[in-house]
Amino acid sequence: MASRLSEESLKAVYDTGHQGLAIQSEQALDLLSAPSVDLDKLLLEEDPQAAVQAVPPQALYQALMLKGPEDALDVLEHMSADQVVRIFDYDIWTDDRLAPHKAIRWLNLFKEIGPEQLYTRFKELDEEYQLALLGPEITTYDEEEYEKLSDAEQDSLGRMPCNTVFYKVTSQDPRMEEFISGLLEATMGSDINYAYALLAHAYHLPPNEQEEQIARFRKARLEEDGFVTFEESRALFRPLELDAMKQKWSFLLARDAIGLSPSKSRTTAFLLTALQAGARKWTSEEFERVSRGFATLGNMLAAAARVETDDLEGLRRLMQQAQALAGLGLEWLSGSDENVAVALLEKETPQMLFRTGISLVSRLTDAVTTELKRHGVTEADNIERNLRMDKRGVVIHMIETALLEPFGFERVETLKGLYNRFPVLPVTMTTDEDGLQRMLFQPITSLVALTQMAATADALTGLLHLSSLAGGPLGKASLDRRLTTGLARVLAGGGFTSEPLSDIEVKRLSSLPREALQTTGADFFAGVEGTLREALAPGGAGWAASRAAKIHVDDPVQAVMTEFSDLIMRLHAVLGSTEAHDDVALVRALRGLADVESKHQEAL
Amino acid sequence: MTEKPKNEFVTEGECRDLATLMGRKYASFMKDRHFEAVITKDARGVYATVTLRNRSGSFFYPVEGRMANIDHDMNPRESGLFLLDYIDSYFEEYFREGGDVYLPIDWAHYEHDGVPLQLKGQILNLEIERMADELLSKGNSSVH
Repeated sequence: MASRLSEESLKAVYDTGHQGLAIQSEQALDLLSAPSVDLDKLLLEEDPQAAVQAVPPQALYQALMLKGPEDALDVLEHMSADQVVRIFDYDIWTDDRLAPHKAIRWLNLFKEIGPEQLYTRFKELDEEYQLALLGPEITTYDEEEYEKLSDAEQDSLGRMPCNTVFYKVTSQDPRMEEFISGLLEATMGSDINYAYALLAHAYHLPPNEQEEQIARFRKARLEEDGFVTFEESRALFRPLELDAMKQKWSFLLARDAIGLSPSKSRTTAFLLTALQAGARKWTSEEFERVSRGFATLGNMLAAAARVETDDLEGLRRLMQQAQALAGLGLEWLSGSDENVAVALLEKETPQMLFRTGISLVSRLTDAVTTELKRHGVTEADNIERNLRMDKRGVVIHMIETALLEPFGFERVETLKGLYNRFPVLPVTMTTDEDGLQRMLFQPITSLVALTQMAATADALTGLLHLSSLAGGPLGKASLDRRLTTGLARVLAGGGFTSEPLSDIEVKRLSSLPREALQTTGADFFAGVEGTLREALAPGGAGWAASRAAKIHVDDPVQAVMTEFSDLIMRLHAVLGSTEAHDDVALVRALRGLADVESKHQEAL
Repeated sequence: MTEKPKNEFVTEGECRDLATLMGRKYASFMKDRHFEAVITKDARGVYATVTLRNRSGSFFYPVEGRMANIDHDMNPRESGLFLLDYIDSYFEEYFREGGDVYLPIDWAHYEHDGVPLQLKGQILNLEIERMADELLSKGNSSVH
């Protein structure tokens, strides 16, 4: 048996993209994610039965689960036979196998309404459902077989009114035994012929065959809601040709944008803004159609994210991600124009909008991967290969294990967010008193959020560019240590290289006046900025992931310099300390930030 | 995780690694909480406790499992990891149902892959309990 607590199981969780990272729920995205059906209100309608039966089955199921079906018997009573079957499709299966105890929960509720309800509801189920539920749990005997049994065995059997057919509930589960007895009792009271037929078929038909058959029917019905196969679900994550997509809708942008001022940059979910604008223009049916389209998209993502049809919280999380990325795609396609976005929502499918959003982030992911490879970062080739095969779980696990040493916690978490199946933006990092670090993420809901992600990526790729100036490929070495080592050497009067600091260099650092160090540091800082800008100029080596991904970041150099100035400040803090004039103390302090020749380490 | 010979018992380090792994698996549900895992054994059987808790102890949920040696042919190490596996599957259900799946507060029988085991668990608020203890001890001192 494979352990649930293995690295493989962790990769499988990461592959789902919605459980292995702490993603903050975005309230704005609850507009379409939250159940919209008010059950109490339905019962107050003039014709409550018609009102209940008009609700789409999945929305009804979600509302019932939210309220608790035990507290909604008066709604269950009004449901149509089709709604009951669909609810069984959502709820009574686990890992694509029938879970009879879940079916009993619902059927017992009908029994609570009245025995005839139990009989009617059971009879209205697909025949295959009925037989798959009863078949494995019941054995029947004719007179001849009955006579061969001992007295005790005969006493344990139930008997039909004709006294020629006997049955035994074979299930060891007392709940199942009680349920079947109740069902047969209710059935015999209402339709004796059906009771005989049920017993005969349940016993004689192979139970697995019935389950396989109903599984096929269920699959077909679920597909109507968007619950597609794993392969089809994965296809939603395949990037599309963005230029062609933009071209397809360019006429809309040109026509509808006339006289409209483009929206200002925003930090809230763009989709929400567009839906609110749409709601002012659309009829309730039109809004419902758009809303249903997004629900279908959320369902379509379920197989790829391994979320079951009865996992309502999981489906809600998927719905949020679906809306976030579709909203990103919508904002990009519409040029951030609400009116164009409304027109797009009317004409384009949420699936294509989602793929547009995914494709926008994909360009950034690809650009970062290229930079990781270019600078010889450990496992970069493997990351690229697995990314190409869409093995997101393996990629995230690889980043977490192989890149922690070179990049540190914060950058690793940023990369995990970027490479996640549903890309997310890191927002808050916390460290508790035990040193346990956590990163909180939020969905990428707008172009502003994508730009923030790109600027964060630029900070990393910019530092990698500087690191390459200090020496060969990064490999497994620490990026910060390598840069700080080069920086310390520059302050000691040497070149920007990453070899460990020598005895002479440490002595020089301890003897130089602080002002001189500050001045050299400031000059070098300006030099680094110039180097980075030069590399971004036409014909330069280039390093900004945002540029390669065609995402507009105002000044990619700025984010790099912010991180670089942190390194300088930390180094100055060590060099400026009162103990800096003591070589041994300085080496001890420097060792936390930079590489120092091994003889110093040994001395310590 | 460090490989261990199959006949050696589960070390503290391994328990820590497994607890960390559980924290990663359920990162989206963890909030400010973390897992701690302990596995012990005696002549009668193997015991595992996985605690989901926050630092202050205001949320403290120890889930305990135990297996008697005579009920199966696993060695103590395998039993400990088997228990942990089962407790992990409980926590998966617990998170999925939004924390609405509770265990009995006293030992209850379960079966996993045909192997009998027992489980119990109770959510506690250690902060409140500490405050209550302090209050009671103050009350006592005023009596004397």
